[in-house]
Amino acid sequence: MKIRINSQKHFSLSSHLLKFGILYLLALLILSASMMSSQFLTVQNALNVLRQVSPVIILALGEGVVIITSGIELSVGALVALSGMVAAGAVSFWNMPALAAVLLAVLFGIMFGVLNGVIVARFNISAMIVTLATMNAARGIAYLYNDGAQIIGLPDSFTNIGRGYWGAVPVPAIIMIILTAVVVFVMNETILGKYLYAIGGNEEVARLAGISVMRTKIAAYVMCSMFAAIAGVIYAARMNMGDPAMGEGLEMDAVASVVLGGINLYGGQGSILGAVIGAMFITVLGNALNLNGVSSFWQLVVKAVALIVAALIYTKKKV
Amino acid sequence: MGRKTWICVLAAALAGIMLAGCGAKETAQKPQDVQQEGEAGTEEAAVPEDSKPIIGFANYSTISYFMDMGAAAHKAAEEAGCEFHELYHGGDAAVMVDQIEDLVAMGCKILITEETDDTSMVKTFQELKAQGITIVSCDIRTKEGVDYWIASDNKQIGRTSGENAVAYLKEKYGEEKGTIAILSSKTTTSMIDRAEGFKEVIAEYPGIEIIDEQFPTDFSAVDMMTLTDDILQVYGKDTLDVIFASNQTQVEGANSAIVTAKRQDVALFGVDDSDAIYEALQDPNSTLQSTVVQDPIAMGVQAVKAGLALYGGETFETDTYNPDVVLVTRENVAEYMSDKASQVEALKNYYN
Repeated sequence: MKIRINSQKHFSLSSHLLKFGILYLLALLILSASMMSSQFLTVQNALNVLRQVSPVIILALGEGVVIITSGIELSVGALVALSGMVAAGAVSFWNMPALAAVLLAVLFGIMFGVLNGVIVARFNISAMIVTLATMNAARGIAYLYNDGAQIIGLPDSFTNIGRGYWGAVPVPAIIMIILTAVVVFVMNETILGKYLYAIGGNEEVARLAGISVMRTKIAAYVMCSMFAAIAGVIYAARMNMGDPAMGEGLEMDAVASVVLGGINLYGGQGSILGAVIGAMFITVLGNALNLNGVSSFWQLVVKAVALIVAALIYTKKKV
Repeated sequence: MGRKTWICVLAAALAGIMLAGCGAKETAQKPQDVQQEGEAGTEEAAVPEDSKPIIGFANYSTISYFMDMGAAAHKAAEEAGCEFHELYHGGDAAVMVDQIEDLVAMGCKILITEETDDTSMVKTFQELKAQGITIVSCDIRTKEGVDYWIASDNKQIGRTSGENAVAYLKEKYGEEKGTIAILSSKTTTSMIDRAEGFKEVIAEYPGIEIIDEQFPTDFSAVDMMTLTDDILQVYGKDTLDVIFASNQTQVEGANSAIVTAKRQDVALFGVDDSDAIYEALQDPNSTLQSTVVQDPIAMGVQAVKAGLALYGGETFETDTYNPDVVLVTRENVAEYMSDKASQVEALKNYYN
């Protein structure tokens, strides 16, 4: 069978908007927000938004990888709580160095990633069901960890991960930029990235092509849970406490960022950078609405409309 | 690796995580044990079974306030020789209805409830009344069907915090003037009342201006931190003197935002308590000046006492009980924490 490849590129406005629409929307949002509020386009607010958006982007990176494989990960919010508790406990109860505490929290994330990936891939159970279950498990363990109590007494070496600056840039932003670069590299330049897209595009074809679907899916879930653990450490450091109630609803922010960023919920299509832009759009939108004193009731409506519009646009992409 | 091996590895991993818990505590004495002990004693065994009704607590969530209340109720119930069951609905009215049905199915004759609002439980409580169930409501009171209501006077909580904020501003400027932002709610009555009480006090001082009031829909500490981040952007240095936060997560979130932004010019006044809030009151980087705390332990004990009395046919002059509230400041926090630690220690075997 011969495959004819059309190398001639035609400019199509609709496909261009589908690909870069969220970027234009973000630019439009920034422009209008800066016109409406004099506090918006300031260095101080830019750093404020950068700090706010960093853990959301980290969550969206992992969620994006899983959704590209046609899966979904709903336990990331609970993992934020669990990893925050683990790291806070390590520095507070066991006096572990901050870096070791972070690694321990990431290890917990990896374990949950393996658990999710194995159950989804090996036993072919719906990712939504599996991660709903592990969401409850992670949240429950976060509460069990210290009998439902918060963990306080965290040293500066740890809280600086969430509150500190490297030069003028907030530390969470540095972590986010490094992780974004790593994921973009993995997705675009490595064989693993190609496998992840292939599985999301058509799992059966990928299997027939010799790709180890199980290993690749496990890798996706491990990456996602690991990133959720890092986000959890950042939140715990920023809040100066491990809190088992932390992170409730963050899975929705992560999924929303991915959808807004143009990654197809059915898998196989979309750029991981889109998820980054999607997370930025959600955070900047919230920031702009807050700065302009918009009621939180209206904020819910505005965010819902943005999400629905994005979902309507991007679900048409995959044919 | 075979399927069984995978399952074993994952089970071991989960068990490891659970064993890694830092604060595993001894389990509470089981109700059956209490009954057996009672049977061993001559007089206890003679008490009719119906005089020791099973008590259920549809509690709100596992933040320390509700857990302390639950543990206090648990201890009081066991001391009265009653079986005790506690479930957490997490602020979801639908879950609460299911849990109440479960508690009734377990044989509970007295229900202690922490409602999410004043209307969701009306029908459920009416049905329970028809079954002869005694209902003791804590904090938010359902409009109908409640036999006894235990709640701090939330307006008084707000007034206490407001008076403290005014005193702070007078000390700062030598007179009662300054600017205030309020974190409140439009849906949670206790928070609405606290903000109202706070504003009642501020209204007496024309030099003090409330320049912002926020009504968030989600009260997670992370969301409250983000909201306060943005408030601090709107009101630059020396343009905002005070933030009043009307519940625990608002205080925690606002405190994190103020500390991160290094805004020593913004003083925080709060309501409710938690380990993180007490830590903030002792942290030189924090600007949290005070928090007004309720007494969940007294509330839990009173809930059981009132429930048993009403179930036994006794009556009260009033169906409402307002426990005292305490202003915890930077000056008295150490002493208050010491007293509270002793109380919590006495309850350690009764936490759910």
